[in-house]
Amino acid sequence: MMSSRDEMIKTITERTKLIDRYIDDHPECDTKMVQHAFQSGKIEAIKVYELPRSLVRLNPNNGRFKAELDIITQERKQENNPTELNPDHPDDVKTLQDMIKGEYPRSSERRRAYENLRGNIHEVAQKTGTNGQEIPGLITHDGILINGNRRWVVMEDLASTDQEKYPREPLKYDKIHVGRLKKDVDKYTLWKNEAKEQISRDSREEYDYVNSALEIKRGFELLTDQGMSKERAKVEIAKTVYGRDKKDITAYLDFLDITDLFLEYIDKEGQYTLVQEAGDDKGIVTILQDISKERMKNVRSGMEIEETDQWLKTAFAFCLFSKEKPTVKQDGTVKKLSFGHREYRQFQKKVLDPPNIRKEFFKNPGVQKIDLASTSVEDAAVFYQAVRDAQTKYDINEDINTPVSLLKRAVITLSKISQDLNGSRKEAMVKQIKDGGGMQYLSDITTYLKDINKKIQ
Amino acid sequence: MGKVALRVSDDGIKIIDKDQVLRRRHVIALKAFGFTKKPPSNVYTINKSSHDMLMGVSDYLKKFGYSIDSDSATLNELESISKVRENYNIARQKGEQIKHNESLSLLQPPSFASDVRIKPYQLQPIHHMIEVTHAANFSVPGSGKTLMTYAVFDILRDRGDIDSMIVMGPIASFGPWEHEYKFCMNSNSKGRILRYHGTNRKNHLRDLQKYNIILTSYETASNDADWLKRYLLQKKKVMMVIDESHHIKSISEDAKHASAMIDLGNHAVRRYILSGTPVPHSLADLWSQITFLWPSTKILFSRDKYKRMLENYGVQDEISGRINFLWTRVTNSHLKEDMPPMLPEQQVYVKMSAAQEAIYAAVERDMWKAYEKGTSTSIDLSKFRKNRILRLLQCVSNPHTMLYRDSDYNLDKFLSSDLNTNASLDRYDEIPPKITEAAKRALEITGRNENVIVWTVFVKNVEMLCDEIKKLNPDAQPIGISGDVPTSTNSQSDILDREARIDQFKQRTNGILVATAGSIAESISLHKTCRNAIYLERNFNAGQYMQSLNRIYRIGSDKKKPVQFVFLKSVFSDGVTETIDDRIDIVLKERTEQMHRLLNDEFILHPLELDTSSSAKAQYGDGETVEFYDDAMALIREHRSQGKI
Repeated sequence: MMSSRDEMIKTITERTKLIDRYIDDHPECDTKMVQHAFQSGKIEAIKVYELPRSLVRLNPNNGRFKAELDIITQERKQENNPTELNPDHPDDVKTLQDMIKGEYPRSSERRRAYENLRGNIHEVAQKTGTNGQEIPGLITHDGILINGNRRWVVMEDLASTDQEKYPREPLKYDKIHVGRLKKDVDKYTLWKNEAKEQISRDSREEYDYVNSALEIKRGFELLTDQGMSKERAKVEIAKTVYGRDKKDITAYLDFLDITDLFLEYIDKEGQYTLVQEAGDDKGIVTILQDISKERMKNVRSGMEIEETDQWLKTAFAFCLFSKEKPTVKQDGTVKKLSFGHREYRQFQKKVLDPPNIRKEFFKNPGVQKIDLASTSVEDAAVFYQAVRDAQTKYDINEDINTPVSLLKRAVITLSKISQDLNGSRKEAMVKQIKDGGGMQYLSDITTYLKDINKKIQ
Repeated sequence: MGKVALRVSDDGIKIIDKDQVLRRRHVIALKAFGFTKKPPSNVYTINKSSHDMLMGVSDYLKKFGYSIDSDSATLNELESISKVRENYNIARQKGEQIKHNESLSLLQPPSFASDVRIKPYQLQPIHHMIEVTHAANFSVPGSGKTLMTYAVFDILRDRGDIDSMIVMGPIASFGPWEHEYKFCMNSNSKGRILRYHGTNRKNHLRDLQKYNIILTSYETASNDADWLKRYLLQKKKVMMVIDESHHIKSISEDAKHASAMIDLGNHAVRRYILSGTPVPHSLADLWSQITFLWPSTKILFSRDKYKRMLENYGVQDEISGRINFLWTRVTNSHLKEDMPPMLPEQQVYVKMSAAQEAIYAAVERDMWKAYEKGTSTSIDLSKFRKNRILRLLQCVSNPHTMLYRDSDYNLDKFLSSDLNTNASLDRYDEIPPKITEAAKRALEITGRNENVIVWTVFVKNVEMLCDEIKKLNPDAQPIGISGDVPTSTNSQSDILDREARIDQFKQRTNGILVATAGSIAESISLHKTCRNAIYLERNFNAGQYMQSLNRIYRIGSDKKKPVQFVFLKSVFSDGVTETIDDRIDIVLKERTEQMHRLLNDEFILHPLELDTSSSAKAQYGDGETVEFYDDAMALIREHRSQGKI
């Protein structure tokens, strides 16, 4: 009896043969166009073919959907199903399609992006009478899509969609333009081709930040597993993805690092979809990016481990509440406790940055008792109030120490002396000023006033 | 909570969680802190280690109830950190006590010559340096920081606490350290003193331990840090002193000298810094100096954290509070009684010649035109203003200086937009009246068998003034020093270096020294043989000006013989219309008064917002230039309304 692995190899071999035969039998499928891709250690111009879409398969390991794939993998594991999706199995293809469309795991952001692409392809198809594809996809030698997965799904969709909305022209969408890589291209080269297209700064099909970070980490690990140093690997990856430099790559990796810690902290290890932003729900990614930058600063400035522990707990608490969006009932109305990324920046500036306020905030019993693995609305409300109180303290301190406040205090003091010199105490005060070295202070005040005026003119 | 093992080595710190007892929150904190773990092992590692870090990790784990199994190396390290902390707490306590104790016991260092007495106001800094172990002496220039340091050295060596002393300072300070050593020590106690400097210095490496005192520069010490550690600091109990420590004030991570000093300091048993102006610019200047003293205690936190702290408004109180225990200062008010008398300063007005006045007026006109026209960018503006003021300064003393490139200030030959001005300048061939006046006055002083120093700003004036003196009296042998004179003699050259020239001057009884302020305003002492100073010209760098005054006006001078300062100021040929010289005078008076007050504060370190570095670049801070530019323009406006230009 054949094992599932043997079956898969057999399928792959057959698929490869089918594509070879189709190209041999249909010389007209060579579009005479080329596209550029990595292979044999360099960028090469490779032929673009027009192939039946049925010969091309969705990629079950596509980095674009790593966060979602992880969820599906987890579920399949729990149900004792094979964790890896089979691109030749109709049920698995349906799973991949749903994921790409943002239907499951549900993602309004992905769904919107998909709808946009479908609209664009359809519009081009209508105008030009073609399949609407503007950029060729890229397949492995055995027909797995490296780039073009969403376009494949859109065409599948358009080929079978409601006739009233999109007049049915199925034949048009049955073929797809793809470049075909050579046989036995190594894993890192495949990754480079995928990343080049999908993470580059000018890419039309930009990943969401979390999936981009996951994709970059995949490439990074492929290189470091081969023994390349971490720093060199970052440079190498930056070279692959156009418009990104080493600093960007480091930022992605650092972000993922802090995201991993956050998910571990809230006992949701590996569930990256929890930190994806959807639609207008901006916040958690930006907050984690800020926390990541702050972490690096803290490491550089030698923050002690105990303080690191407390800082991380409060920063992650904010992050978690940002995701949970807690509400409280106040005066008969429901009030949302704002934990957005703008609020986080204020929290960072006013509570976490000033050493004294930070220390006091960490000691707040309400903050100390929060357990991030199981939070309640009450916890969020207590935390929210503690943040507000600390920020108020900062505002008051800040006000006291601003140059304007200091000048105001100086004026009040001087005006008091000036007024007293009009009254019955005049003689005694003059004596006090003269005997107590006050004349020198007066002269100093004049010098400083002159100096200040000069500097601010 | 369970037991974890803690290990420290040169590679970093390891936490071995064999029984997997670490709670999730603590694991995450360790990871966020920088520890990594390679599954499936249960070992958390971080590839760096510092005292703070190790102690912090140990305290953290203990706080959450973990028991810690440490090997002997880790245990030793933890114990030594505890010891440093304990010492720091003791030093802190003692420092505060000494600063508030007004009845300190008298001291006589055992090897000091019997006629060398410690002054009462020097007692506090000496007691303080001895008791606080790593301390700062921020006494004003001229208060005897070198003598106080030798007293500390002598007492500590006598107690067996140290074997030798290494001093890092400007090259110009070597001579004064040597002279003071000879002065302080009795004839039986003269130890060996070495200048570790120059191309042949490495020949001395193996003998370093034989010397009592080693003098070196910041640069040499930075370059030879590994050698100094290997051949001296790791072999002997060494007291390390950074003289004029504001030279290592940079907080930048790339600051080579500051980083090298901090690194070397780790190997010294005693560390001291000496400076009269430790905060020449801003509070950021303190980080490297203070961290050198107490590197592992991080009094001013880590570099980044301190920088971040300074971004907040009103942090001076916290910084003052943190460092108060570790410094003392002798102020000018302490010195009053030991200072020589000072004759009222003489302001000598010198009329410009017609030719000089025409050129000076043309430069002012040029400035006014450009002022009215405005300039395009702020960079242009700053450079433009700096150059214009320098031109006025050059012209008011000696228009010849404008015809030559001045490498100190990066000034090319002057070219006016007005061709007539250029022609007048090219035709200018007289000896300017101010130069002649300075020469005459210097010769008058030497005629009384007294020494005199003439201060200038521009290199060319040193040369012209020396020539003029020789012309007026062919027997006079004026000595010139500027940035062009090497700091140390090159064996291939017969040019006397700066120090040899200063020594030559000191040995005379009717000598004339003509020097630029930038070349020797810091570190040298002339007060024992010279009581007269003539200022041919001054710029507006108040720090440097104060340093120049202190070369002859300081304790140790003959208290019966008064000191005299003469300032030459050019005026228009009508004898009354003032020039840029007068504006300089006003600015310097204001700034020196202000600085005196700030430096006289025994309790607070005020940033002086100036740079006293002797390098030419530092002579003209941009902020000061801009500030002074407004004064200069006000003067020109006045001249316009008077029809002078």
